[in-house]
Amino acid sequence: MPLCDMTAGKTVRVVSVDAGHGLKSRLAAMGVLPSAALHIMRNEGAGQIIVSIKNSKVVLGRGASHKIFVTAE
Amino acid sequence: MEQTKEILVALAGNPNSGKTTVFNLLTGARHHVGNYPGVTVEKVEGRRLYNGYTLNIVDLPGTYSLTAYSTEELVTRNFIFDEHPDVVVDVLDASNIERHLYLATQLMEMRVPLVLALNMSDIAKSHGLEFDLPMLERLLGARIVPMVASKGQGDTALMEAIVQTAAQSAPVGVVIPYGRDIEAELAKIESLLAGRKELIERYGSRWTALKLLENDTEVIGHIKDLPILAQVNASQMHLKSLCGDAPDILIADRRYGFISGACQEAVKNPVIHRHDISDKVDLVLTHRWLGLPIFGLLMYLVFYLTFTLGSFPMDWLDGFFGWLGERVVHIWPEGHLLWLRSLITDGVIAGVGGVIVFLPNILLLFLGIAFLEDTGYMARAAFIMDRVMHKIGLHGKSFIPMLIGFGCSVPAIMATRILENRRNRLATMLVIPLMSCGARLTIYALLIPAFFAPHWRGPVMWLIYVIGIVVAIICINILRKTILKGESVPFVMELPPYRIPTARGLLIHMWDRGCMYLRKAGTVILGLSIVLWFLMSFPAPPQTGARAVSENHQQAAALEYSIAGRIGKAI
Repeated sequence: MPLCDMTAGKTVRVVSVDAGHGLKSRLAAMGVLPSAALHIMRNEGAGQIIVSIKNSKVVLGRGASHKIFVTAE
Repeated sequence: MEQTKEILVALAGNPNSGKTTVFNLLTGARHHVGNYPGVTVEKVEGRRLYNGYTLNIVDLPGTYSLTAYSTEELVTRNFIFDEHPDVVVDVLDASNIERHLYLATQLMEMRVPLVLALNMSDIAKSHGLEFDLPMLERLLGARIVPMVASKGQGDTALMEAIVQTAAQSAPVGVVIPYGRDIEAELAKIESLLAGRKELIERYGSRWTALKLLENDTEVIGHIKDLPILAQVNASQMHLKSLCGDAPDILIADRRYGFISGACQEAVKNPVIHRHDISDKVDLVLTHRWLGLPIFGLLMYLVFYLTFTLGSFPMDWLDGFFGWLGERVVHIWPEGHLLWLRSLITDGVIAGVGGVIVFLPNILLLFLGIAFLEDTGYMARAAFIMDRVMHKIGLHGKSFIPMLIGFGCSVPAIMATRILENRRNRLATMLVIPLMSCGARLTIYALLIPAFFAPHWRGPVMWLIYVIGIVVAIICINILRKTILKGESVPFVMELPPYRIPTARGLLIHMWDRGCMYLRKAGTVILGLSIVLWFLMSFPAPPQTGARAVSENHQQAAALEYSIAGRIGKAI
């Protein structure tokens, strides 16, 4: 399921990142890699999503959040 | 006496690692801000004497990794390859060590003499993190120095580690193992690279092979041999079918694997919650409805303080330059070299005054911005504004320079450096002059009553501002479809934990930017004011005997006769 469809408060695991090289490597540097755990801190159904990964808080644009596929823990 | 040895030190680190604080702690206020050649990336250099060594320290841009996808990352890695720093210091946030070590692994891949500065180790300690430093040093193959840069702790130890690392002849750092599959492909590519001496000398064969496998656009651009490219392609396909993911992701995964392995051995309790207080603050400051009004209020406060507090020193400076001009006129020997007197009073003093008069405003504005940046609020402001700005094709952070543009365009254009993406930065810079700045307000106030009936004046003033904004939005859209074309960068931004800024850091930030304003604006404004003086003073009207004409009248006549006057008439 894409990350944007997950509700806030959930912890999810990354399955894959289906994006161009630029965004993929940017996300990889932040720790968004397959099998990494993400905690969704905010998702209001529109606009950006805030996730917590490896102890840092990261804002993802809606576009980016469509490209990250996750499964619920 | 022994001659002092020079050591070139490059300071790398993630954004929000406290890299600039470490830099300021090492160099004090003695540093130089410039640009890297050809790019709008700030280059900050400073020096420090230590124990008979001169440390020349370069503050590299803050980056998360060293790919070829952003200017900052390219600048960072090319600086290392071109300038061969004797030591690279990677500043890490100790309370978030795993993420911050990711950049360190890439520096290790580049085989640079590395020192790790474990910054904010007090916060990590209060969170219950315990580091087995000797163990971590062994696992990472680099000296590690715990620091609290904001409290001025650890600079001597860091300099000692720098000097010792610089004295080592053998390269430090361990070789990160990527696992059998990737290593096998690396070996194949490396063997084909053997003939490319210039590449191996510059980058090293392992790094080149690694970057080729990662599909690094810059390194691939250097390779023109088809056999090598064919092998790279084959290796990428092979790894993808074998492991199910693209090699760049596999390699990133291995780096994180290496890091978490090291941290499991040497860091106790690596899972912490760094954000407890920050989270609570964010509940209010980035609240869906409250966020925007709070942001507006904070911005208003910054501008209010800038212009009210700034108006006092502004008046003093204005008075001073007026007085200075009068003094010069007063002591000038009557009737001698009047053109020179006019050049000094109307050209130089008025020009220099015109620049310096704005300095208090600019310093206060930069102090406000530095405060918002150093506390970590600026990232939230970008988050709040992104929804609006995204619609017109700009990044959330573009809002800050555009807002400053209503005050003065010079600091606004300088403030665009908070934008990481070059295309966004250029687009924002190009439209800032369309925001009506404070100086234009006086002109509007003069022109509007001359052309419009009283009840129209307010709406017309408002309309001028709105037209500026609308034209700016149209321009951005045109720019993004023409010369600044390219895919819009997806929004990915870290929200750093809130921090209490240090007075020293704020003052250094303010001063650096103030100096930059004086240098950049000073030269241009002074130059133009002399040109303007020349155009308005020459040629002088022929002397008529009419002494009785009032001074005002004389001035008007002189202006009419000058080049500027003639140009004006021609128009």
